[in-house]
Amino acid sequence: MTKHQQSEADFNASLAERLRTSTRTAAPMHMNDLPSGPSKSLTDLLNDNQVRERQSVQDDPARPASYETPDLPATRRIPLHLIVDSPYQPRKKYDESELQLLGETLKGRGQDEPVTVRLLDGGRFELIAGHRRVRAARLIGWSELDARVVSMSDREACLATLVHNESNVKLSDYERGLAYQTALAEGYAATQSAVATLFGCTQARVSQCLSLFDLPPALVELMAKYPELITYRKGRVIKEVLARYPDSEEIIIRSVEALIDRPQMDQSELRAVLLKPFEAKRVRTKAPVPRTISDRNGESAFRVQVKSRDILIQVEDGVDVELTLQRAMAALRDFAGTLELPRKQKTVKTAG
Amino acid sequence: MGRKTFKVQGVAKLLGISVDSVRRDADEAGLQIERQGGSGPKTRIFTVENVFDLAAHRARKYGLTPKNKRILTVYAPKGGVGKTTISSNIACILALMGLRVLVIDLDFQANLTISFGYDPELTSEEAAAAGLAQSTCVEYHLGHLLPQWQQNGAVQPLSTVIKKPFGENGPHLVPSEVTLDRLEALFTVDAIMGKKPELAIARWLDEGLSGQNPNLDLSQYDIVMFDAPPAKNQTTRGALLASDFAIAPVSMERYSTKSVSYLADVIGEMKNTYSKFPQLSVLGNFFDAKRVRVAAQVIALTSKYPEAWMDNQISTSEEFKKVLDEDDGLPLVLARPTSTPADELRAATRELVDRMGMLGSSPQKDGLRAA
Repeated sequence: MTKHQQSEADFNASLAERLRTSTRTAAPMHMNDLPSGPSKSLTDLLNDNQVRERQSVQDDPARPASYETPDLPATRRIPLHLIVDSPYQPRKKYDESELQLLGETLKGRGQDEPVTVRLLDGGRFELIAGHRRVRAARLIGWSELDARVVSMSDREACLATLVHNESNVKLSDYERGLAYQTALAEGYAATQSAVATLFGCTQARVSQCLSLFDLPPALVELMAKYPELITYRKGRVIKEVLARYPDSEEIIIRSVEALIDRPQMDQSELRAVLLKPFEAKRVRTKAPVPRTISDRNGESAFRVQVKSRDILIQVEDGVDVELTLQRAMAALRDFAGTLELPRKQKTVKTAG
Repeated sequence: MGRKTFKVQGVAKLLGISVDSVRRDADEAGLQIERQGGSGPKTRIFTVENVFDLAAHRARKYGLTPKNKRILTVYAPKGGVGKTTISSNIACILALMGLRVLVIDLDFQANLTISFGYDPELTSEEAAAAGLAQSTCVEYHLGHLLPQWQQNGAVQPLSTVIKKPFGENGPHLVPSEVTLDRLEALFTVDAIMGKKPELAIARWLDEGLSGQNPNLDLSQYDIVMFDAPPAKNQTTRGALLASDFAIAPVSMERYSTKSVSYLADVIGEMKNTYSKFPQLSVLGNFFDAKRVRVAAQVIALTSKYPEAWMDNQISTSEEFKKVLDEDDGLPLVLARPTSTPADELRAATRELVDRMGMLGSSPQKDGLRAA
């Protein structure tokens, strides 16, 4: 049918259809329902409230469950065994003791807020928000939870899960980075700054957390197992060492694994651990044993300690420090006179 | 006062009646109408007050009695959608229909108060120095009528607070000034003490409308209107809870459409908590049927709130802004009675009166030929 043959009514219908689709392509907007039905009069409102106030003074009844707002998505009790984790959940690790605490809270107070789930085909419910509460409830042996059931597409569910978890309890840098990476990959945000807006954090944070994914694949795999293993600061140390010894990736990765046993290690300790294999090749140091040098009667006069390339001489009370220094320097000069070092090598440091 | 005056034709337009009816009713009412001076024809010169007096006379003559008294709040959580402009104009149109109107300014920025020609920041010395009437200043506001405010002195009688910008028969005003926002803090204290501040305005209206308290007699009014600020606070919730109807102006863009959803949520919460809530009307403002953006918002709103969407809309018009500069203190319907936006405002107000079920289904039968 050509344009000219199209009737006015058809044209109007097509126009309406076009507008309708154009509103649909814009991001869908949630609109709340308006209540319908009759409303009380002003006088009834005040009378009822007086009655209610008096009652609440007299017998202080427990809040009836019917106070739930029916306009919200329906809240209902759902058996725990029907609730499954979200595949989009960035959190990889749940702290057992925190779950215990949360379980205690649930036992003591009951469930303050329903978890959010969506109905899957096959009658199961996929979590959007409440992964920790569900685990805690299982821990304390509950069989059901209050849940708000929403209907969401995969895409909406993914975004809701990502964003919800970001705002909640401690995610590791790796888990955050994973969430940001998903947001970028799924197209919820095009740039790092858009990711920052979406998750309500700074762009610096986004780039820090994402930087973890530039580490060698073996380390990224390791983080998937131990999400808290490498913070972005430690990641920076690892990258720094990798840049210095680019041929020794395997050795460095093996050193990083030391973090599994000593997670509380800070950056400088980690740096020392990572650099150690490379120093060991040049100077095979034994474990530093403090040695004492005694006077004629066997009393300790000096204590000498070697810390990697530093020698620490502790001068005991009663020994002249200045004199000690002069003697030590003289001895070192004698020794140095017998050496022939290549140019621009590290000089032997003295300390004490 | 060097304020705008109207010729017979203008009055006819304002009251929605013929020129002859204006002349006849004005004579019949015994109104003191000035005549044009000079050598030309001695045409009648109506002041704004004369016009409202004439409207009141006609209401009495034709026995106009509204079926219901109504409480109405003009409110949208979104700012800049035209709440105050619509409030002041609707208040005037309702009074021109012969209804007795009280309009209450709930916004400490007091734009409604200013739109009726008052200056809330003017001190009485400044007024005297500038040769302005003392009544131009604003001394009291809604707070002074509520017990919450008593710590600053006793409740004022209604008559000292009320302003009558266009005379006895025009809309009456409970003005506002900058300290009104302290009322919110007092309500918050009430909330902490479990005293249900959201019921304060309802209690006040109930007492006033009963006519039992001579210092607070609201029983003379056919309609009490609130112009609420774009906030979601105790004051606006209190006004909404007490209201039978709410009008939400929308400016036909996405954010203002979204704000209707927030409002729906607030109203829904009222229904669940109190089983008392205002019936919502959504009034398209800054309307332009030719724009796709506007059409998209109409579809969004009508598909979600088909009942609330009003058949009449107010178009985008430069007149609104011009009125502010050229006829300050006079709402557009009075300043430009023959303009297109004035026609639209009158049509929207008629629709609103129908929605509120205040008058019989056929206004003609009640003798009211609609303003």
